[in-house]
Amino acid sequence: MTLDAGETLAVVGESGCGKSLSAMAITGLVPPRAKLIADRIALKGKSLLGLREREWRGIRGRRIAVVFQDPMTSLDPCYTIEDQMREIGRQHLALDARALRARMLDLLRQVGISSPETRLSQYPHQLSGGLRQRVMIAIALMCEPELIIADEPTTALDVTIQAQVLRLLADLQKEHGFGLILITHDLGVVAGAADRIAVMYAGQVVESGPTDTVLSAPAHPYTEGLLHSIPVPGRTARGAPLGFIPGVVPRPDAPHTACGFINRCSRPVSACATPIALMPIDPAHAARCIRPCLGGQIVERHPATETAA
Amino acid sequence: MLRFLVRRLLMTVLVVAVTSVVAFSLVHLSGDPAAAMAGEGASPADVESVRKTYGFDRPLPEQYVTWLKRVFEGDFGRSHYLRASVAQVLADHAPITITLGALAIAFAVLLSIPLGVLAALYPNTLVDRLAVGLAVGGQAVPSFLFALLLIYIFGVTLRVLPISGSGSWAHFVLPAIALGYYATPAIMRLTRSGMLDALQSDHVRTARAYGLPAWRVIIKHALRHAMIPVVSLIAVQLGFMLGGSIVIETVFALKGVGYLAWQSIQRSDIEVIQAILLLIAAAYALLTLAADVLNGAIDPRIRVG
Amino acid sequence: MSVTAAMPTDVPRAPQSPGAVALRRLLRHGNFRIGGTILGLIILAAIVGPWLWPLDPASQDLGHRLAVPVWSAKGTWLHPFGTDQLGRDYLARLLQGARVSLTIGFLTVLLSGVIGTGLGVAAGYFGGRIDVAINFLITIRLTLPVVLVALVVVAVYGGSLPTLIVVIGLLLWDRFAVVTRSATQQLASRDFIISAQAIGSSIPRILFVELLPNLIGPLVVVATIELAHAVLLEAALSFLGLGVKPPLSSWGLMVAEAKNQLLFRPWMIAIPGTPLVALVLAINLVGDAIRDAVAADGRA
Repeated sequence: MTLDAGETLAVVGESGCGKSLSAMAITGLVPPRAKLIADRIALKGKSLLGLREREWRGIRGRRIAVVFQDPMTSLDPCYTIEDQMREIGRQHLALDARALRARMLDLLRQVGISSPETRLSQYPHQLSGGLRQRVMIAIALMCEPELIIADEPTTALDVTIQAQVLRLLADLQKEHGFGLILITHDLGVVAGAADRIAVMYAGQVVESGPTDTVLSAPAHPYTEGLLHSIPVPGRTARGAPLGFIPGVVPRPDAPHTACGFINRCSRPVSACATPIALMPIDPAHAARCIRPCLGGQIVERHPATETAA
Repeated sequence: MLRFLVRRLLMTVLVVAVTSVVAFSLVHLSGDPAAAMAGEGASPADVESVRKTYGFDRPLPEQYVTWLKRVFEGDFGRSHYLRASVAQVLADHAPITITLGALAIAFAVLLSIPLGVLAALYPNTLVDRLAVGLAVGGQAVPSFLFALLLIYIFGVTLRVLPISGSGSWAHFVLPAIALGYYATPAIMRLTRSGMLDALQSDHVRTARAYGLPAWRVIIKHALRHAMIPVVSLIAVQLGFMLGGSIVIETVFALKGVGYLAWQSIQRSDIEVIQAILLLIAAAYALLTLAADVLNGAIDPRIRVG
Repeated sequence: MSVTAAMPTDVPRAPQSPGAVALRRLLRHGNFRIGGTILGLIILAAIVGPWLWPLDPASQDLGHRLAVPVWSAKGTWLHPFGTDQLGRDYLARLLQGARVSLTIGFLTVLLSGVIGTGLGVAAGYFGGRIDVAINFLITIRLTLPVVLVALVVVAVYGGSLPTLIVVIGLLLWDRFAVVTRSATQQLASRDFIISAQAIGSSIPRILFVELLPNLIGPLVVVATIELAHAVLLEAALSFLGLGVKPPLSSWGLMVAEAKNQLLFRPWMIAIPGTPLVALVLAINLVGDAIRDAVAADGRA
C-alpha cells in the first residue's frame, strides 16, 4: 500500500480480514499476540519499523492520527472534551494555555461544531454520536498530521450522519492536504471518496489500483465477488439476484502456503496451491492472482516467487 | 446529582434507623439487663430496684423511644461497669480504632492496587501468578492466626516490633497489617479484572494512538475506570474492618472500640454494646454513601445527567 | 483462566447435558484436584478419625500436661501431637475440631442458602415492591457487623453447636440473596420461563422445576464462598472465647488456648492452625474451579 500526500486510499475487505490491524500497524500499535509480517512501513521515506517506544510517541497523534470506528467508546467518558483535547495538544504542541484553547475552538469550528465553547466543557456522554465523531476528527487534526487513518469512521453512525462525516473528511483533506487511509467494508463509500483502493483478504492485499480501474475492471476474483455482492444503480439488473462469495475468510494466522482464496475462488487451478505474489498488471494496478481478469479476459500468468506487499 | 444525593441520603437515614431498632432489640431481647447490671449475687430486691431506676420495667417500644431520644441528644447512656458515660467511654476508645482502620486500609490499598495493576499489565506472567496465588493463599488464613504469625515472626523471633499496647506508632504496624491483609485479595482481584477490561477499552486505544506516554495512559485513562467498582469495595472492606477489629484488637491488646465491645459483651454492659452496634452500622452506611459520592466524582456519567 | 475451552473436534461425540460437560471440565481442573483431595482428606479424618484414634478429647491426663509432639526429641506415641495445658490429647481434640468445623460449616451454609435463595428468587421473580423490600433487607443485613452481632447473641444464648449454627446461618445469607436475585432477574425474561407462564404453570412449579435447576451453578459457587466464610467465622468466635465452649473442641478454640504458649511451644498453635488454613484453602480452590467450570458455558 502506498499513499501520496493529499490522496485517499481506501482499504476494503470483509470483516476479520486484517484491515484494522494493518492500519494499527502503521501506528505501531499491534496487540502483543499478533505477529506482524511486513518488510517495510515508512512515512515520507523514513522507516517506522523498529522505532523505539519514545520515537513512536512523536509520530502517533503528531504525524499520523487515527479516527476510530465507534465514537461512543473512543473518547474517555471521565474527562471533558477540553481535557482530552488539551492533553493531546500539550503532548505534541508547544503552545501556551491561551493559544491552545484558541486552537481547540478553531478546530471544533472547522469540523462544523456550532457552539464550541459549550462543547469543550461537556463530557462525551452528553454529545450525540455524530458530534463525538466530529470531535474525534478535530482531535486528529490537532497537530496537522501528514496522515489520517479513518477506521470505519461512519459504521457506528446513523445513515444521514455518515454522508456528512465523509463529506467533512473530504473537505478537510482539500484544505489541509493530509493523506487519508479510509478503512471500510462499504464499497459504496469507496466509490465517491477514494483515489486509490487496496482490497485486503486474509491479512494480505490481493489487489490495489486506482479506484475507477479496480471498481470497473477488477482483476482479482475476490474483488469481482465483492463487487457482485452489492447493487450498483444502472449496472445491476432490477430483480437479478445479488452475488455472494461462498465460504468464510480463512483464519488470519493460517500459514500462507497457498492462495488464501483458493477454496472460495470461481476459477482455481492446481498452480494456485502455491503462495502467490502481488504482481503488477500495469504500473498503477496490481493483483495477487495468477489468473487475473484483464479487459474481460482471463489471463494466465506464471506464479512468481512470494514477495510481500 | 442533587436528586441522586438526596435519595441516597434518605436511604442511609432509613437504614440507620432500622439498624438502631435491630441493635436495640438484639441487646434487650436477649436476657435480663437488670440482672446483668445488678451483678452476680444480687438479691431479687436489688435487681428490681435496678430495673426501676433504668426503666427496664416499661414496655420495650417505650424504652426504645426514650433511648433514641437520648441518642439524638448525644447521650448514649451510662456504662454500669466502667461507671462513666458511654459517650465518654467511646470517645476514649475510638481514636485507636480509627487509627488502626485507617492504617489497615492504607496498607491494603497500597499493596493490592499496585499489585492488581501489575498483574493486569502482565497477565499470565510470574507477577500475575504470584499476585493471584497470594490472593488465594491470603484468603485462607484467619486473621487471628495471621496476627499470631506476625507476632511470632516480628515480635518474638526478630524482636523488631512491639506486640501489644498502643504507646507509639510502632505498636500499630503489626495490627494494621493483620487487619489490612484480609482486604487485599478482594481489592487486588477487582483491580486486576477492572484494569484488564480498561486496558482493552477503545478510549485507552485512542490515548495510545495519540502518543500519550504509557504511564499516563495507564494511570489517567485506565486506572481511573478500574477504580470505580474498587472504591465501593474499599468502603465495604473498611466497614468489615470495623467489625474485624474486635479480633485484632483483642490479639494485640489495643484498647480500641473492638476490644471495648469484646469486654462489654463479657461484662453484659448493654448500654455500651448497643451504642457500638449502632455506631458501627452508621459508620458502614456512611462509608457506602461516601463511596457513591466519590464515584460520582470519578465518573461524570453518574454525576452529570 | 482454565485452558479447558472445548475444541470443536471433541464436542459432538454424544449429546451431553450441560451439567455433564461442566463436571468433566471440573474433573480436569488442576485446582479442583488439589482442593478436592485436601477437602476429602479432612472430611475423611473427621468421619473415621475419632474411631481410629479413640482417645477421649476431653479427658485430662494431668500427669502428661503440655507433652511435646512425637517428632520432637522427647515425644512419645502415647500422644502423637502432644497434650495441652490440661493434659488433653491434642490429636483427639484436633479430630473433634474437624467434626465441629465441618458440621458448623455445612449446616450454616444449608440454612443461609435456603434463606438467601428464597429471598433472592422472590425478589428477582416478583420484582416491584417485594424486590425493594428484600433489597432493603439485604442492605440492613450488610450494615450489621457479623462478628459483633454473633458475639452478642452467643454471649446470651451460650456457645452450643445449634446456637452457633443458627446465628451464623442467619448472618451469612446476603450473598446467596444478591446472586440469586440477579440470576433470577435474567432468567425470568428468558423464553422457557415465559412459555411456562404462558401455558399456565403454577408459580411453585415455575420456581422449583424451571428456575431453580438453572441457579445451581451460581448457588454452588456462593456456597463454597460461604462455607469458607462460616468456617473462618466459627474459628474467630471460638478464638474470642464466645464460640464453641469447652469441653467441646474447635480449632479456633485450640489456638486461643495455646495463645500464651506462642513463645515456647509454637507448635501448639501450628497444629490446629494448619488444618484450618488447609480446609479454607481447599474450599476456595474447589470454589474457584467450580466457578471456572460453570462460567465457561456462559450460565453462571
